[in-house]
Amino acid sequence: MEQAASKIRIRPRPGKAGSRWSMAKKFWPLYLLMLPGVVYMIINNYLPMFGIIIAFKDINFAKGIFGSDWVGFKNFEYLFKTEDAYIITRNTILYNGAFIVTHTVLAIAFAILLNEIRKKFFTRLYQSIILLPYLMSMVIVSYLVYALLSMETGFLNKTVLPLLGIESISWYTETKYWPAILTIVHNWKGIGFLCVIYLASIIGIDPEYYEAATLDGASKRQQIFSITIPLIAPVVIFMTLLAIGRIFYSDFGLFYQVPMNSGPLLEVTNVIDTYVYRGLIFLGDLGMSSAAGAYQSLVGFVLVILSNYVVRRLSKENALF
Amino acid sequence: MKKRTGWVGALLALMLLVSACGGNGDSGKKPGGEAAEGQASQASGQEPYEVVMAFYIFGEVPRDLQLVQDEINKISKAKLNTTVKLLPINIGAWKNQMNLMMTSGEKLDLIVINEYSNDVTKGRLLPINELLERHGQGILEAVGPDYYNATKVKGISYGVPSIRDLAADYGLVVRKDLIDKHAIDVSGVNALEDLEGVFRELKDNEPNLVPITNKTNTSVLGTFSTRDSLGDDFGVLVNNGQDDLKVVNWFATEEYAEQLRTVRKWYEAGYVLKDAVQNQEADVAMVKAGKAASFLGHQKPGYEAQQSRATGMEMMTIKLGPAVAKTSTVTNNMWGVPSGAEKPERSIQFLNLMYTDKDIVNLLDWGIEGKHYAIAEDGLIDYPEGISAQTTGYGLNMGWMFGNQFLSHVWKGDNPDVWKEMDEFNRNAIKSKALGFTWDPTSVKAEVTAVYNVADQYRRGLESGVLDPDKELPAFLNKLESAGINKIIAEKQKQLDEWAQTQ
Amino acid sequence: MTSDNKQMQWIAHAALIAFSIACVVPFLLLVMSSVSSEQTILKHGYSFFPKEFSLSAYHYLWYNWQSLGRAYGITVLITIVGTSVSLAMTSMFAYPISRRDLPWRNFWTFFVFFTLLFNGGLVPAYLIYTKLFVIKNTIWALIVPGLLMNGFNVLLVRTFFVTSVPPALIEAANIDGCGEIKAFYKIVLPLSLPIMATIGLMQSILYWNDWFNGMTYVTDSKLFSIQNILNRMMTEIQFLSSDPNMSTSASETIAQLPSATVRMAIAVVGVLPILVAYPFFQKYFVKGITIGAVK
Repeated sequence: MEQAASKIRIRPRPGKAGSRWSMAKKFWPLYLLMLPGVVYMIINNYLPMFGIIIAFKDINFAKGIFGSDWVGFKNFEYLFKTEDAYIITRNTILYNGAFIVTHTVLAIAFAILLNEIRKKFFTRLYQSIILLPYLMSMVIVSYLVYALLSMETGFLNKTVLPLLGIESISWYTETKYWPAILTIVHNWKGIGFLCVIYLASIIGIDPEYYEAATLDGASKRQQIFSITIPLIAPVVIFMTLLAIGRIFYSDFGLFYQVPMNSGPLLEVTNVIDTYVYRGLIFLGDLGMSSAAGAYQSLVGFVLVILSNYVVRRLSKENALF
Repeated sequence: MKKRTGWVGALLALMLLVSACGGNGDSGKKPGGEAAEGQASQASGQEPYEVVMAFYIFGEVPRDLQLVQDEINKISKAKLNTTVKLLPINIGAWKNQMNLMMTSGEKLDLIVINEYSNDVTKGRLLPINELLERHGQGILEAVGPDYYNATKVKGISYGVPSIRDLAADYGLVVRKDLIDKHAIDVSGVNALEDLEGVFRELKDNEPNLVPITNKTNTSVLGTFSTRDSLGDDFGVLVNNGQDDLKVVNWFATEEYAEQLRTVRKWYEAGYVLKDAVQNQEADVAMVKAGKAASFLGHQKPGYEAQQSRATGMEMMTIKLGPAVAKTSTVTNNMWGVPSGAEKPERSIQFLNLMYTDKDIVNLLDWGIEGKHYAIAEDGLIDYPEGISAQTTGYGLNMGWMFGNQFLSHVWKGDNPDVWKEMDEFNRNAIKSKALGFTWDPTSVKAEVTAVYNVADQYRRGLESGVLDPDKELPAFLNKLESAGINKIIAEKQKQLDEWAQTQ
Repeated sequence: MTSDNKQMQWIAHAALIAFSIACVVPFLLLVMSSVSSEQTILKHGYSFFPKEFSLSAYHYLWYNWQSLGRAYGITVLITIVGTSVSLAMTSMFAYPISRRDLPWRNFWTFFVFFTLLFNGGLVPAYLIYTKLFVIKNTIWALIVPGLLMNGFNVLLVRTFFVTSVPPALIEAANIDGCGEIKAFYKIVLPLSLPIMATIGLMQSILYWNDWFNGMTYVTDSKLFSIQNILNRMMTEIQFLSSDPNMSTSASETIAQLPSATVRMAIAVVGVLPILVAYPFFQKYFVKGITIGAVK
């Protein structure tokens, strides 16, 4: 990244003198614009990073964070020492993988469709409606799912399945349904949001491209695949890279509250975040929760650097850095 | 490159600054160190001091909290030249807030403790035995030596329990109207197995009612116990710790298997909610809504009246065991002095008032007389004219938390002698042999997290009868073992033996 | 071509109507449950046509109207202030790093991206904000920590600038004697209304829905935002109904607490205002299309 930076710096811009002085003169207003943001990020994000040491300490409140004893990697042990380590890692990665793919494809599809609609009234209406789930908290979503799936009071078991002549299903104890249920809930809740983001970039595309294409007799389909998608690729890549960076994290509410913390489902619903929560709810150990966070971040970081490297190889334009 | 080192340097400098502030600086806070010069016996000669007292609350901060605080301060100022600042924190934020406030060294002088073992092992609390002897005689007298000793960890006490029900007896809480209406005989019921008959009659006569409910995130059996859990149920003493100090794996005992089979029978007969594992309502709410008839729980004198008020129906209790005092029943609500407290002796002095001064206790428990409650002729209290539970400016209703509840007025509807009864209840309760043992899981943290996860997977299903114990119990035990429960039990046994030697 | 277009319209409407139904139906269920009587829900379950209507859940909330009203005020205040400042800071940071000629551009991009992957956790952030900046129990506590600007938005806006602001336009402006800062707000910002509206919407949702800052940095109930109060009610129910130790003493408190219907009412009360405010942002989504005329 430093190499890249220096390359840019060295490359003389056409029509500009290459000297440092004129560079500074040209760019100081831009740096001035950045200043508040940089300061905020240092305070809000970089300074607290000293907290990483908590992961390597046995925190004792009488001694304070800095006075507590160092314990090396002991706080990390619980993440690997258990036989559940395989299950939680597998679940976390598989779900996130599936989420990245379904989420991206569906959101792009809906964004394109939304953009196609001619009547503005409908565009607005649909947009508002599909954002609704995003505004609800996971706790509420979990109650809604429960209202659908419950044995005693659920809409499916009480109304729909009897109509179809199917016996009621004990949803909360059958593991086989949950990968699908969780994927559906996740997409249902998140697509509206992602769709709005993609829509904003689609709207930002210069209409001249389409006008030219239409003159050339390109079909809608061709326009979508050769204009829209390539032009929003940078945003898609950014969103995907970010999702990859967070592949070891998961939405706690989705995996804990939506299955109602149902024990029999743990095989397919336990992810790293829920494992840590269940284990630490009584221990309340700061060091161990920091360790989990550090582990998740580190894996994500490595993966992002790798993926970005791959993107750079394929198309330098679209790489994030 | 130069630029970069520049701001790395700046960053480091800032970090140092933060660390300087963040460090708790425990210098000069040796317990009792300053007490000698304070000459506590001559309280009026002390310089003024403000004690910040943090506790958790449910619901909104009472509107008139400030007024109550002012009234308290009138008394404590005169007696100790100390004022108090009440710092109520909502239960949802409590744990987090305490962690944060203590790491950052914010001013805190007196706190409620609800996770004693954790608080002690993480160094959140100051040792207070010496301070108690010097400034807290009233507290020691009110608590009594038995229960006071139960707070000692390696001979040192870090907190004192509030005076409330310090023991627990388990049993069934059931709607009295139904028992009377269908003339169900409960006289012979004194064990878990005997309940089946009661449930059968309830189910036969009231088909729309679920005979027994559980509460959210807990199983049907989750509110029933015949063991001393020694902190976390992973390694327990059976028979309420009456036999010996042998730590056993509760889940592998025949008693546990028997209990599971009993509940499974209930479940299959339809006595338990089909959705028990996902139940989203509190047990009381289920009864109040007319959906369930009973639930298991631990009890105390005055419990029926309390539950009747809560459900709006007359409730009765069926006892399924004796009252037992265990470390957990004593330490689940205590007061302690946080390790960052500036003048711990002043905290204890004020705490002493909460155990001895009737006026202060009543202010904390019920508010201001005439404004938040009125005393009737029979000595019981009620809302004043025109005030109700909804409109009162101070309705914390948490007498069990603030010091010595026995000094407080009795609310109308309760037995006027409730405190006397409760005192007897505490005195007569049988005591677990491990009463006073506080378990420190620090050395087996990794195993404990794994075991909690396994327990989450099986316990609620098994203990609500949803899972078949014949099939799932062996699987549960296998997973517990590979998660390391035996290591936890061995460690616990070691700690318990060491503890026993010092007794 | 027209048939092509028509077909597209049909597909688009069909897909969006289907998805819209999937989104609206649960919300209707939410609203209907919030006006059902508690007993009906516990006995007969959630239903679109409750057997018994009751506004008791809203009555319960109404009892707390004093604090609710105040909390709404605080929420509106922090949402407006927070979103405006956030928009300014985000776009000001994003624009320079979108410029391909900016020295150290990749470093700064990485500087931003890194914050998305690593964070120091709550405790150190708390130390910094309460010790260095002393914002505990001030209105700033609800606005500044964590929310004011996030790397995600910065990078999103940056990406938008890269794709939608032609560098030639800026160079032309520069040649015309228009300085960088002037070019930023005269040319770049007007071009980026769609993304600004998106970010604005996201930020305001973020501020509107935030309870975490309140829980962490505020203990004074006068400063609670609406979500603080709603979240408090939620966690309370969950906490109380699940802690076996505490509840003997607290069971009376439990019974007084809101349950099923109130939880739904809480959700409705929390979501509705933002739904009302939403169309305001929407204007700009469509506007973006016509902005090409500026060029």
